Amino acid sequence: MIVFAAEDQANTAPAPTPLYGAVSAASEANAWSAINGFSIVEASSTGDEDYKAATMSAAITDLGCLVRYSITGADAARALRRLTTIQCERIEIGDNASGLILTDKAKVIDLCNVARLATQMFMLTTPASHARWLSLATRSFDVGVSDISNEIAAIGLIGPKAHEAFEKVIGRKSLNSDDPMRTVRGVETAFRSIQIGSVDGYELVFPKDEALTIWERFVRRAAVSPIGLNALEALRIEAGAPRTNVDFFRADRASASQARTPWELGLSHLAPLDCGSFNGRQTLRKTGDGNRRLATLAVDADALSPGYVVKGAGKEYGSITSCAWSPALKRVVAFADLDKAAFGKVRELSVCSPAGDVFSAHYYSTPESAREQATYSQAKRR
Amino acid sequence: MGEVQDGEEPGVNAASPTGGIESGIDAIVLGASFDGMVAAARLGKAGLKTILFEQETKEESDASAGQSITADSLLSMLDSKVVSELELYRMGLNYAARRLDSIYFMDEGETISLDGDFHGASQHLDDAEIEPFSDFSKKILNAAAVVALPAGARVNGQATNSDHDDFAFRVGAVDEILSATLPRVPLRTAMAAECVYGFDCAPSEPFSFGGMLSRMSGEIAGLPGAMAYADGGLSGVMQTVRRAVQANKVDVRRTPSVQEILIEQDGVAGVRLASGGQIRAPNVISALNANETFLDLVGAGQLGVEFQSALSVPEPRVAKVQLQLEITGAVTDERTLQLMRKRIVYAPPAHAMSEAIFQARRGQVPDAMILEIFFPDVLAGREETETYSIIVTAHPLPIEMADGKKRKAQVEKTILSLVDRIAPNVRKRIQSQSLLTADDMSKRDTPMGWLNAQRPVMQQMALAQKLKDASGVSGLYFCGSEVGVGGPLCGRAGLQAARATIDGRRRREAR
Repeated sequence: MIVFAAEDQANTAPAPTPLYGAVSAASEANAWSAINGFSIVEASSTGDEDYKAATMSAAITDLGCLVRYSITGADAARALRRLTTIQCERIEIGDNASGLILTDKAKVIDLCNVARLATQMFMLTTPASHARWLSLATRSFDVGVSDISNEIAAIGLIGPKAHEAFEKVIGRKSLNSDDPMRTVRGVETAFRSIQIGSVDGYELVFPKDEALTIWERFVRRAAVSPIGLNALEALRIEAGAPRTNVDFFRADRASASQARTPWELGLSHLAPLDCGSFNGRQTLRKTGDGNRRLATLAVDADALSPGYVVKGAGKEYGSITSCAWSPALKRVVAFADLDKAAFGKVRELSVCSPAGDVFSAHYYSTPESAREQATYSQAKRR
Repeated sequence: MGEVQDGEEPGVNAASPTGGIESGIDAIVLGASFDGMVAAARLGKAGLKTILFEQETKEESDASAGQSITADSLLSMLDSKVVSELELYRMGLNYAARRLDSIYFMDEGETISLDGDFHGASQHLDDAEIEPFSDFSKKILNAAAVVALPAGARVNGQATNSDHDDFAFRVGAVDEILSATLPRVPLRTAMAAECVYGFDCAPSEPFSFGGMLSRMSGEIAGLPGAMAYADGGLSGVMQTVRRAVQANKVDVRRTPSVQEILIEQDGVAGVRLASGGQIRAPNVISALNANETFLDLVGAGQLGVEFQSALSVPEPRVAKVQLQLEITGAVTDERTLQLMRKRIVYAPPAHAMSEAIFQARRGQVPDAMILEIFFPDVLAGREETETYSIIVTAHPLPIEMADGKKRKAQVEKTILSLVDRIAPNVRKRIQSQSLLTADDMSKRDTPMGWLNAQRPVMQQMALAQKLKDASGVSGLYFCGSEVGVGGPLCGRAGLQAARATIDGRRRREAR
């Protein structure tokens, strides 16, 4: 699950990613956002066309604004096991897994993905920077941690035809190999399968100096379409993947009332209690679900804004945290931070704008909520 | 279970047999410090089958080589509940001297006497000082009572750590608070010495006044804020608690080392010994230091990230040293004997105290020090003797005495020059002298590390609360020196750990 952090509203001079030249040349809209100090294109053509490319053919996107750490050493798996909710010892070389980073009090700091590149080498990918937390969590472990975000470039290749496009670039034999490293035009790249929203694809990470070579190879050889942030946003909400500092505050910087548990974010399947020890697990076992719930809503509206109030049976239950037009559903999809009392019980919901407009809304099931439900049912059966 | 071996202390058994697994134990206590013994004795009294592990210390090897050095101190905060619950009076606890009066010597020849009862301490003062000091002492004793409560306790429904009226006392600087409350400089100087004695903070620094609250938070011989001297000194009190351990059928074992606290399914499962054997028990109380307990024995992987980061708060950089003098010549003069029955304090000017703390933190021997002096022989009633011991405890000194002998000689010289100011004739009667540093004390466990200075009280309380609450491992309790606030031999932390263990066991049994 790949999710970006919130935009840096105050950053007026973001740095270019290594792929900036190629992305800006391909962008007709020329609209940009700043994330983690980097410029990220909002749309390559229009949001709808980008979305269509991602869901119907193959699309390429710049993932240079994600934060990446290399974790190496004899204790790398153990240290990551403690830091994240992922059972890193069980990840095979070339595989990756998604999870959460929690505080001692079991509140969510961020989502994360861990890829195993070698026996004692992992790459941790997070939407936001966690240098301090990482340094605290890896004390007493025999590991080396380095932020490699500025040394590498990354592209995401997603869509139903991504596999085919990828095959054209690197060859079938290479694609089916277990080795996490692939060679593209003589450049060694780290390869892994990813999900952006509910769309599957691949991510390639490579030295930043080779960024334009790799990008060009994909665009020319596989004829993939570049896409931007707006399409990724719609895909993300449709899939039920909350965004850091947009749908929830990272708990290491939030007040107690703002911090959320995995259950409150609908991500309890990413923090399984029966799969070994991770930071916050003991608290998670002892505490209940929490008082809030981040729910995905389909709203009968053309456009919404974060902050709109969600009501049910005349009572205010929460507000919209993020929203996007879903070309697939033909309505707005949104995350809403709701009172636990409303979640699943109050079926008739409405979203109200400050101007007094009222839009009807209903819960809808996402791939993430289905996963959570499946994990919950499994646990109940046990 | 181990049997008593030839040549060992009665009640102390050998280490567990190698390689085997021993079960049927209710609780294991690691470390025979004062708090460790209190915890073990209390558990034994509650009927829990308890093992107390005491580690072999360098003191024992020193003792066998005939180089044993004893340390001694006045008591100010032996927890009254420890005394009553462990029946320490029945175990032989006795105070040779209680409610010790204090006399403060200052530069310029000023002296101030205060009664041992802090409530009634104003009778020796000037008329102008009586009322302000009376107000001051009442407020201090009230505020100090809050410091004495367990971390997180509530008074009248309010959290004690943040909402109490006397918050200003706990966060304020000594200079600032004393200037606003006491009219004359000598009394302020005397009180400033009480505030910073034993703490790593200067009178000019925030939180420094908390030291006074800590000093007054204790109760000894039934009197809050008082000072007493026990029969046999600190060793005597340790002996009484050891007797309580034996009387309550605690299995005391000596082992080279416990290697790991076993954690299974978020709960304590026992300990693994260096010999490879295991002792299974659902409760472990550690009286070792926090880093040893949590990082070495539990392991970072089992700890919360924030909890572990709380362990890395900077250690105090200063400590006390103790100079023990033997002086010859009988004292027949009643006035001198009266003085020798008191606790004598040398209090340098406040600015000199601040400078001394800064010098000690930089690793230098300060020019000025606070001295606490007492005469154990006289306090124990041995007044008609030809030789007297004097215990002079000086604060602050650097905690690291890197260049050994040379540094010690410099410290002895400075302390003796300050003693000269109080009693000019003592130096020529000195028969022998020995200096005991925090470094020496860290090598023995009786009573572990009490010469080390403490962090300012609020910082210490915050750390204590974190350590008590946050390990998150069910059945693991901690009563190491980091959770104590105040002087040597309090026992509160050990008692609280034992009570928590007993309550936890009851809850588990009820389920």
